[in-house]
Amino acid sequence: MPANYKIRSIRKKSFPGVTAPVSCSLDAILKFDSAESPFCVYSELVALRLAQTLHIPVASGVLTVTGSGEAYASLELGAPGLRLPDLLSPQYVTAASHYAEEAAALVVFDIFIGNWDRGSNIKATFVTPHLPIFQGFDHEHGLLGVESDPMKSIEKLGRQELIVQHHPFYGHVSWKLVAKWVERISKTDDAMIRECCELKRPLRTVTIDMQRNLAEALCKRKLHLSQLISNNMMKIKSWP
Amino acid sequence: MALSLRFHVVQYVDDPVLAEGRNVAVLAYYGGRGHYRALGMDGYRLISSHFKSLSPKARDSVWVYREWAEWFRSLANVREVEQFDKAIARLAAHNSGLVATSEGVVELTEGYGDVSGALDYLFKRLVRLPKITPALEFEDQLEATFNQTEILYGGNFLDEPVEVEMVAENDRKTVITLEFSHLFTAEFARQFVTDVPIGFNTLVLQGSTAKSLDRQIARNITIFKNAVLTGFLQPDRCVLLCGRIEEKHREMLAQLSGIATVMDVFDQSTPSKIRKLVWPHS
Repeated sequence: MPANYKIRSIRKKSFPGVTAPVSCSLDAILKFDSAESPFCVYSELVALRLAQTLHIPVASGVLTVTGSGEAYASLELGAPGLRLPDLLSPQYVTAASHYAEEAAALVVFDIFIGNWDRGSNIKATFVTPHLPIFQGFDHEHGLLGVESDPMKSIEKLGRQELIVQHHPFYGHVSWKLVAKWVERISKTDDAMIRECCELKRPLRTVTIDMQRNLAEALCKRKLHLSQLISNNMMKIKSWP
Repeated sequence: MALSLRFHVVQYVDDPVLAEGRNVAVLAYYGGRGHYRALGMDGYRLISSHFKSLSPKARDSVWVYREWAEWFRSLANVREVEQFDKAIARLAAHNSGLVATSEGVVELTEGYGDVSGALDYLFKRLVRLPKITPALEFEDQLEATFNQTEILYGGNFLDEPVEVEMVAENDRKTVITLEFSHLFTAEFARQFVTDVPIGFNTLVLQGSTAKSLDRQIARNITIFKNAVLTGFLQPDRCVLLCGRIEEKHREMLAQLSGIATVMDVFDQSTPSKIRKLVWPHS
């Protein structure tokens, strides 16, 4: 489902070419590493790379540099002037039925990366039939952010723990669709996962070794994903 | 004993740099559920013109405001006060264009009656209703008409302008501009729905000068004539939707006779006429 991102400005400057390209700027939310979330930038970037590889509906973003170093810019959806609201808890059921495929994908992905803080971090449209939007955002509590210590996060991901104890779509997703996304993730080539996690250079405080260890933990986790999710079927699947 | 009602005013911030807000909604939690009053919301109906009239930028993002209207409705289903407070905190912290301002408290005395009465009072005092131009009133009615026909939900209805380039028999290329259209039906629905395209254009009668009306009518005549000439539309599938036809308009609109079907969106029979065009067999 391709999404529209917010254009802040279209500049007069145009570039040569038959498509008449022009310069513009998009709206984005800048995210930084902080004491509370020391690996936010890396986790956001890698979660996006994994999601794009697996075709999980999450908001796009880019790595950028500010005065305090590298930051993650999460691109904003919507029209100029007004942003879509974040999902409210009474909307979870509607979202899961309106976007059944996407909701199942997001549940499995969140379990895969250990993102225990999905909460309301979803933008979706319900009354705009010609513009279906469903996108998750905010992944700083997944991957290296599962625990405050990154080594513990890696260990936990590799230990095949569910991690995600609560999720807006638990109890609302079809088991068949969940199985489909589990299969997709578990069949993903290890090399693809490594390419998503290993940036071939340190990113802020995240060393090359930490990146390699995370990749290894995720490669292990995907193999056991089916078992892990089956063990928690009662919690995850919807009941008629 | 007087009870207190905590409420939050929601502002629409058009320009984040200027950070000047316009009050658009009042939210409160009371009696185990959320309550709201929001600009343009009348029960399950949203009168889009109220939000559109705030600014040109608001006009462009009215579809997002419709999603916010859904959000306000869902807020009424929030049962836990913690969930309500969390939603308000996100509204205050995230610069989403709609921002929750600081909390206020009113006493629910006999004067206000119940929560509903207090919210009505607060909304009236805090949210200024915009002046609605005839053009915006027409747009509201147009939206309501399309909603009633239900063609909005068909998947092959385009509620945005389209340009179709067609070639007539004389090899001349013609661009047909339609404001709304019902194009090419999905295969499975062919037996129930016409697969002949329908083109809709609009004409705002109220608030327009005679000169402007003449120009708009001439333009529509050209568009619909070309649409038929190129074979893109059939004459009975050319529809001009206009607002409140008065006696003084009749002569002007007579020019469209045989070229397009003129329908008044304020006429109660218009939705069923459109439905018959789309679903002739139903």
